Amino acid sequence: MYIVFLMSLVSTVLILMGRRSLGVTATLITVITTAVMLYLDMTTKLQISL
Amino acid sequence: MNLSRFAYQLNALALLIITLILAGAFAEQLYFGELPCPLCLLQRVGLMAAGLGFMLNLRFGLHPLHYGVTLIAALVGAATSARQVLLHIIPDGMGYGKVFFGLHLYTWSFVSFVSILFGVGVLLMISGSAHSSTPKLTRWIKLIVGLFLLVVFANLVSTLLECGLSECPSDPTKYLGLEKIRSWISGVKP
Repeated sequence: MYIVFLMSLVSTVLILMGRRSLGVTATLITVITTAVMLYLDMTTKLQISL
Repeated sequence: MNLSRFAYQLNALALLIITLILAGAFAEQLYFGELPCPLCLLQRVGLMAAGLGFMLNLRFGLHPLHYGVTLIAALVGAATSARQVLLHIIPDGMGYGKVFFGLHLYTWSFVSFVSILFGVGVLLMISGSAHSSTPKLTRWIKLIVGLFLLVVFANLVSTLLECGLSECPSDPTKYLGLEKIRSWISGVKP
C-alpha cells in the first residue's frame, strides 16, 4: 500500500522541480496503480475490503 | 480580473480544500486513534492525485492535460468510495468508522470526488481555450503547495507505520509497521 503514497510523493516532488511530463506520467501511474488495486479487491484477488 | 486569472485562483482554492480534507482525515486518525482501512487509504491517494492535477495548473499554467489528470483521479477515487459505500449500504448497518455530520467519512469522500468532477467541469468552462503562460508562484500559493507536500509526506509515513512494507490488514487495529520497528530495535519477536 505504501507504494502508491511513495509514488504520490515522487509525483509532487517532480512537479515542484519543474519536470512537467515526468510529473504527469508519475501521477497517472499512481492513479492506474490505485485503479488496479481497486479492481483486484473487487475480484477478491486482493483482500483489502472489510 | 480576467477569467484565466480567476480560474488560476480557483485552482489554488481547490488545492487548499483538498489539503484541508486530507489534513482533517489525518487529524481524525491521530486524535481518535482510528486507523484508516485500505480502501480509505486508496481514497486518500485519489484525493492526492486530484490535487496533483490542480498543482500542475498552479506550477505550469492552466492546461486541459492537467484538468484531465484531475478528472481521471477523481473518477478512480469516486469508484473507490462508491465501492465502500456499497459494502456498508445494508439497512440499519453501523457502517465503518465515525459518523461526521450525519455521513460516514467514505460517503463524504464520494461527495468530495463528485464535487471535484463538477468543479473541474466549471473550471474548464471558465478557462476555455486560454492557456496561461507559466505563472509566478505567489507567497500564498507556495504556502498551499508546501502544506500539500507535507500532507502527502505525512500520509506516506503513516501508511508505513500502519502497514509496514506488506499488504495492509482489511480491518487495522494497530500500527503493524511501528511494532515491527520496535521489535527490531528491542530484538524481541512480536
